[in-house]
Amino acid sequence: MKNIIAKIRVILTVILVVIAVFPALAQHTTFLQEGRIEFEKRVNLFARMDELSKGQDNSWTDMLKKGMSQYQVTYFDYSFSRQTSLYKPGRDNPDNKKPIWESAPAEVNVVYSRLDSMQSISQKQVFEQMYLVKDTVRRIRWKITDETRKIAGFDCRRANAIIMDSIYVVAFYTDAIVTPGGPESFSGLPGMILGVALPHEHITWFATKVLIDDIKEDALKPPVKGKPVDNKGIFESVSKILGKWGNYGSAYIRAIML
Amino acid sequence: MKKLSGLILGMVLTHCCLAQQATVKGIVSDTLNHVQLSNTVVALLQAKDSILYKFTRSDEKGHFELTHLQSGKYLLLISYPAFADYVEPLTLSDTSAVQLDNIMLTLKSRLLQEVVIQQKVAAIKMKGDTTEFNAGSYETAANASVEELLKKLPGIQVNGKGQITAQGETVKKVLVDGEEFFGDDPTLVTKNLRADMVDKVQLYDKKSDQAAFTGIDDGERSKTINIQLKEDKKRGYFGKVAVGAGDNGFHDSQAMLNVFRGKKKLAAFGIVSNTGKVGLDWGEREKFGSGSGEFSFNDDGDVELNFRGDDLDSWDGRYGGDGYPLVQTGGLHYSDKWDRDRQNLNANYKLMKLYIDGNSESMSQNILPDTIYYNHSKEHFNNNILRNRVSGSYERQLDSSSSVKLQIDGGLDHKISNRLSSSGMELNDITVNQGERKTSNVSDIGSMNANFLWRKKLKKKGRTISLNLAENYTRTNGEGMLDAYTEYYKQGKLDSVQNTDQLKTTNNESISIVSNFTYTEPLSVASSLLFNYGINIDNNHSNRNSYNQQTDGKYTALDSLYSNDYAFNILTHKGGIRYGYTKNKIRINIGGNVGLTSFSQKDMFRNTKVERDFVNWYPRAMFRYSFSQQRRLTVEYNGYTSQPGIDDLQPIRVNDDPLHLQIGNPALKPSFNNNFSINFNDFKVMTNRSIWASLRYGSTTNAISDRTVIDTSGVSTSQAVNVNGNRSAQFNLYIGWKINPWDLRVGGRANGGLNRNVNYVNGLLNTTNSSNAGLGINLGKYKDKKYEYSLEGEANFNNSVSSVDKSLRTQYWTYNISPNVSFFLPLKFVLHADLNYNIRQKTAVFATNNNAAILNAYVAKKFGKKELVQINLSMSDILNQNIGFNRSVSTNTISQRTYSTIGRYGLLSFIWNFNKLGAAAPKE
Repeated sequence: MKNIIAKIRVILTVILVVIAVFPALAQHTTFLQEGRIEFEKRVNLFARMDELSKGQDNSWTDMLKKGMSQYQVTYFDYSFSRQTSLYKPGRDNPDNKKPIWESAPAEVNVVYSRLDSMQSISQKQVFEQMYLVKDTVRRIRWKITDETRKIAGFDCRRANAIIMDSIYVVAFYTDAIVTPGGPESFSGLPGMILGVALPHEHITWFATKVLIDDIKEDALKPPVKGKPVDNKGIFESVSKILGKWGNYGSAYIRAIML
Repeated sequence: MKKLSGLILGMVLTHCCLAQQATVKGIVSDTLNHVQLSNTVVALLQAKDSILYKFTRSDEKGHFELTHLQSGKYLLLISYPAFADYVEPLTLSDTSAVQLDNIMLTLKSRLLQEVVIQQKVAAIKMKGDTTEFNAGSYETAANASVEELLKKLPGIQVNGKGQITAQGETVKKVLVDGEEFFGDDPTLVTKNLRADMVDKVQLYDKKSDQAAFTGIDDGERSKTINIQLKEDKKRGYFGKVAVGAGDNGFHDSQAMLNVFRGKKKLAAFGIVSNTGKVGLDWGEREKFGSGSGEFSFNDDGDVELNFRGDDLDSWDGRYGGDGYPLVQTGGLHYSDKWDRDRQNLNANYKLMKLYIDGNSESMSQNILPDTIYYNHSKEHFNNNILRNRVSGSYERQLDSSSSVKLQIDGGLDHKISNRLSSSGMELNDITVNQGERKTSNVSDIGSMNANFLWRKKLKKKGRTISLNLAENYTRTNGEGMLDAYTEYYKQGKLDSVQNTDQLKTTNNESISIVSNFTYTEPLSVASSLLFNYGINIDNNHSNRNSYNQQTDGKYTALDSLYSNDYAFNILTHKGGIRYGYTKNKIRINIGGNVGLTSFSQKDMFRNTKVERDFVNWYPRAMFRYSFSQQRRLTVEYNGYTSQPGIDDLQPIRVNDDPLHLQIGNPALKPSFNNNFSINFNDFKVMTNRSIWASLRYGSTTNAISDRTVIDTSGVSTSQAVNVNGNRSAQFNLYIGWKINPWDLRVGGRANGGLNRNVNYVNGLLNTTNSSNAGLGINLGKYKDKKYEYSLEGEANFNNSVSSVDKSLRTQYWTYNISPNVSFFLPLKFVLHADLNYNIRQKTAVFATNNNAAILNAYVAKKFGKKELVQINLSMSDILNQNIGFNRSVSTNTISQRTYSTIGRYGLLSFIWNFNKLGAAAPKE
């Protein structure tokens, strides 16, 4: 019962936000400069496994499939204040049924970005090794389209891009949030990215709710723990071990480098 | 990275050196109210591909300014929430200064879409509220996109922007195999979804995401299209043929084939060999046989491998017993998955003929309170088995919440075994007895097993029920001859002679039915309770008769001393409860079963019947702490009751070896076992360091041991009895790591064990304490396609003392060193050699040399681009030293046995791998 009340409260908050924002749209749209977004990350593990095993079923993959949910759903809290943002793991999802030893890559990523100076500090765990990656924010050549959709009550415009030479990205951003950020390392669009899909990687991030919150820029702190590296450093370090793992290894490396 | 720094450099250049580039300035306002719009997004896109070049937002007064722009053709996109986009092409030169002072935005107006519902009778199916279109019924051009296919479907329209309308409603989501489809941008992605890849298009009402989120169906529905892709219909075949011949009549020939078409698989194999290969190995079974077993998660979340094979199936497909095997075997396998993997079928047949012959030699020391007997025997044996076996399984996902699975297997064995042995026994170097024995036996063994499992998830999350029924049936009919001649000596002089010449028949039958019903009730997200109840029936019947020869030469006189007809039935009601808790890093499972067990023991010979009742306990507890994904500690307790077998219970004197008689004990009680274990493992992926440590302790109350009486003529008579005080403890530790500069893998191992075994010898309670300790190291280095080296070494120490004679202590060391090298040479040559050097320390009793250095080597050459053809020249046991060996020191009988195994032989073999894979098949 408590849960339902909590959920209803969340929905009400969302609705209130929507009500607060949208009637005003006619003339005086409220533009958000700070707030919190909850992203739901969905990974279609079955599709990823099928691609890795090239459809060759065996009893090992059968067992793995029976022991886990097809979609691994995790939540991330994203806080932003003007040109600063912090993306970190959010609430637990008890519905996730996953093999206990399978730690999905990037599941506990923390990404701190300064969007004005285009610098980011991200914390990424690769098995037992924690990395602290300091580098510039990835610059993405976004192709703007006129397709739109509503995400968490916000009108969003679609943009497509290719990153890391081969990964196709579909992003949806809203003009109504001024901070030009987004989940993980996705940014660089004229507004906030509320939805990202990597269709061929079978991964999506979509905002489930946007909360207006008074967040001070200096309240967002970059992660500090981990072996300091840059993007090139983590790539070399991880490739040295996982590069020998065939398809699984390269899928893992792609996921951790996002 | 280079690209990025180039880009940054480019931008820096832009800033510092080309400062007087183009600018675009302007003011944005609302058409209706003429209010300046602040925060308007002003973006400049490259005209040729719509790639975002630069963007800014207007200030409070609606002013915006984009500076430092490179010359080129652009699109100016100005957008403001709820207003229609303003788009204007701009061509900028190096010095353009565009001023757009009056950009007016208009509120969006909505266009009502005209709805046209076409009436066409076509391949449409209605499934509940889902409409299904069969994609094949609609013709599309080659390489047509999915959108083009959708356009052709009745009731569906796709407009110029790619928006889809179905049955008059806008389609909110398009899914591909259940996953949202965003549509690929052909300028960015080459891998497009083509119409010919589509199997079915389903149109259904999907609950709104909000309803799915809250779990409350508010009735708000939106149209969703799901595009179901065709399953990959690969077809092809692969297999191998290997033919090998060697000296001394050694040969090894194998043929294996797998033909597949989609998920249908038909496989066959045949093996004729006398080099130890008797079946498929683990990898071959996956490709050419019934599969390498079934992985599943157990209650503790660990992975279990359940392999349903027969006693001659092993992971390496090689014969593990005594003697020289010659096998002729073959098998067939068929499997299929259909109905989108919701149903699968698996069927197998295997035929095998196995001949084994060989010799063995054993020596033993029987420690008695006042004396020590020495026993030695030699034996020649030959056995053969003709085996027929079928097995199969069918699994079906009935709906999203329930599934059934049925497994059956059955087999028929025809076994013939003959053995000829001679033995002698000494006391203080003086012969006590000696004899010869010949046995021959022909038996037919049939078995039939089935297992049925039904599982269902109930509405409430975590609430499940399941029913498992298992049946096992075995029948043995055998007939054999025993011909034994024994001489008994007194003070070194022949005292008496015993002749045993009997026909023996065995007719055994056993059937067991195990049922178990479980119900799981979730208490919270993290915890649950499981209840289970089942009835187990275990009925055994053993009829063993011995006949002496009559004067007419026929074996018809029943010898009642060595005959009996007995039935042993067990009925158990077993029920229990278990509490499970899993949260974060902790996993707990505590519970147990109680069994109300009734024994019914019927002696048809003596016409007696005994009924006994027991309460049996099966407690379990498990605690696991996972420090991280790869480091965890598990503490476990497992207690269980095991029932005595009919062989131990049946009140019959077994004189198969007239010098070692055995008597059953109908008064045996069930034994109860306690097992504690602590396991710790830690694996570091990135540094390649692993630690595995375990500590185990086990004790048994009412353990089934034996009470042995050795009379002055050296004849021992043993009877199974319950004893207390059997205990054992073991520890194992392995640490492995990698020395990075040399790319060398190093591992160290330590293990130890203490065992306490209790038995009765000549009326005295004897306790044998034995212990062992070992250390080992391993080194390994490999370079892909260049070389592989490894070296393993270990030393083990064994110690044993029996309480009947504490002055006599048996102690010995064994060592093993095994180096292994392979070189991958140019011209596709492979050179390999390995040595397995066993050093077994002699003892006062076992004074023969048992050391053996087994050296194997081969040279292989592969041919062709795909290396599908290979020629091997191998030499096994080059030094011809291989002997089968085992030593046992766990009771007051210390024994050592050596037996024949395959020794030196050379083999030249030709291996041909072939494959033909269909177009859709993966490349190797």
